[in-house]
Amino acid sequence: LSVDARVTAPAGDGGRTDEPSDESLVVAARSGDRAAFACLYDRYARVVHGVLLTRVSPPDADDLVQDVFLKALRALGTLRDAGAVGPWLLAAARNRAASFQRGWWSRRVLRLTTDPAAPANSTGLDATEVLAAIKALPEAYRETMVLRLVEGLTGPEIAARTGMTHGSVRVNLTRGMKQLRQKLGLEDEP
Amino acid sequence: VTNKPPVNPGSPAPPGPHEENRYLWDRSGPSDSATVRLEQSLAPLRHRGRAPVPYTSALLNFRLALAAAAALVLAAAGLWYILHPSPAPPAPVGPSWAIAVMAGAPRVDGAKGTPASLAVGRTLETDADARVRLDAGAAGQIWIEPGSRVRLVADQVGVPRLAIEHGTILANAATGPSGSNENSAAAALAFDTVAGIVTLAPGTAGRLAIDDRGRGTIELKTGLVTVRAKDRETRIPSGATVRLLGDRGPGIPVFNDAPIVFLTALTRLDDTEGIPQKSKFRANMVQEALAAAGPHEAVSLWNLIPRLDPADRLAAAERLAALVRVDTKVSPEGLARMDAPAIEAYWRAAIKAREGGG
Repeated sequence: LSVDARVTAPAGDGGRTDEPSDESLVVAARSGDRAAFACLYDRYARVVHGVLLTRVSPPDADDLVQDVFLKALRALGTLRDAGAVGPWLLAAARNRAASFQRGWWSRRVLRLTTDPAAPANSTGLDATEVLAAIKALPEAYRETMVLRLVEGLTGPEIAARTGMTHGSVRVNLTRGMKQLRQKLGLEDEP
Repeated sequence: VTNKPPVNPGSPAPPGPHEENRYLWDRSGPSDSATVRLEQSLAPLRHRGRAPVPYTSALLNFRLALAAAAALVLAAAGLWYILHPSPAPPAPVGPSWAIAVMAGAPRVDGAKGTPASLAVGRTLETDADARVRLDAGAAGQIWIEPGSRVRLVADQVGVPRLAIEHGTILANAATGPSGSNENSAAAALAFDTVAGIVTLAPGTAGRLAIDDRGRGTIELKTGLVTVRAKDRETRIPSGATVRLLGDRGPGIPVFNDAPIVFLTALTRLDDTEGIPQKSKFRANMVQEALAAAGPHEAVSLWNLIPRLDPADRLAAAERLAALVRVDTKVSPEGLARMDAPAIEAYWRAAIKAREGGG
């Protein structure tokens, strides 16, 4: 990572105050700094994956993450506000998922497993079913719920990476969780 | 580029930091058992990928230098070719698969003198006496039988796969990393055919025969093959056979031990798909197939359902549901609607039924 990229991130950035800012990483990545690009990937891959997961199947989401980042890298020069790379990547992920769904011609890899379900776990909940229930929530809640429950981001991290306000994230989480509990019959759990 | 949050800032104010929401918000405070259960159940779906390798300026400079060197080499080769014409093709560039000649004298781009590898864009042809093995790296091995013509192509990101113009191939897809599916996509072995994109799951062994109009068969020894065409996926499990129907895509996979009435009905359904004038005939064939189907035919029924008109799917879905036991809360109605959870649950159940477990 170049020296220029090691700039302190803005305050309130989801607890990553010692890390380089998005803006500096974008500037460095534009000039070919591979480590800066890797930092951006580490920072946003889970967010991009989560957004894709609300729109395509899990195996396809894994593949499309790579697509989104490779295309984003080529288009970094067109990003006017380097500090808004997070929302920009999210928009790219939504567009990629939409184009992917328009036709199977665009699928570059066809992934197969003999058992497409997620591995069994001890929770008594099936990952495929839970994900389907999240996808059935109102659109505004889906991404936030996936980022929190699948990707493991906290509310402040979701706000920092998506550009949403803390209030919006909190509303999405609270209302989304209430509806998800109802759908899955978990209302009575403490 | 948009920075617009999904929730309007003018929407009702968020609830305060209630104690029960603290864990959901930032994992502080007492843990909420429902949230923890959901987190644990969804953990297998979490992103675990690695960063793609981008073009760096150094890499670009290297590539430019490489391109310049390649141009010089090509110029020299061109001059040499003019002075010493030879049927041997120039050295391959880009992704390539190693060639091992098993018998005879195969041709690459029409020329004898087989190179050590098949590069993207090159066509390999075997006559009646020639047989070739291609090593597709981590993806597996492919045997090109006599009388075949194939071409190595690359997808949008440069991953090579074989386009089969006609002939017979035997393929062994390498087994993926044990206990992980992360790299299975990279290792998947895929073929372009007129009937669709044929993909072998890791560990699959099978035979594909196809004529120059895209008609032929796929037979599986082990594993799982999917054929994607017409926005739908046909799944062929171990031991099954499927007809390829040219640009009409694949037919319905069957097992040869199925009742003859069932096999006949499915063949006729394959042959009449998309012909409105045959709708009454097709309805009769569907009834015959459903009546003759037993648990071992569940895989074929699963593949039949998306080929039916939406109005006719429920009866087939209900018949399938009567033959198998699903392991999750899904319904025949969901399957008839082509809901993803129902599709996957009934697929698992159909496979279990075929293996005698359902």
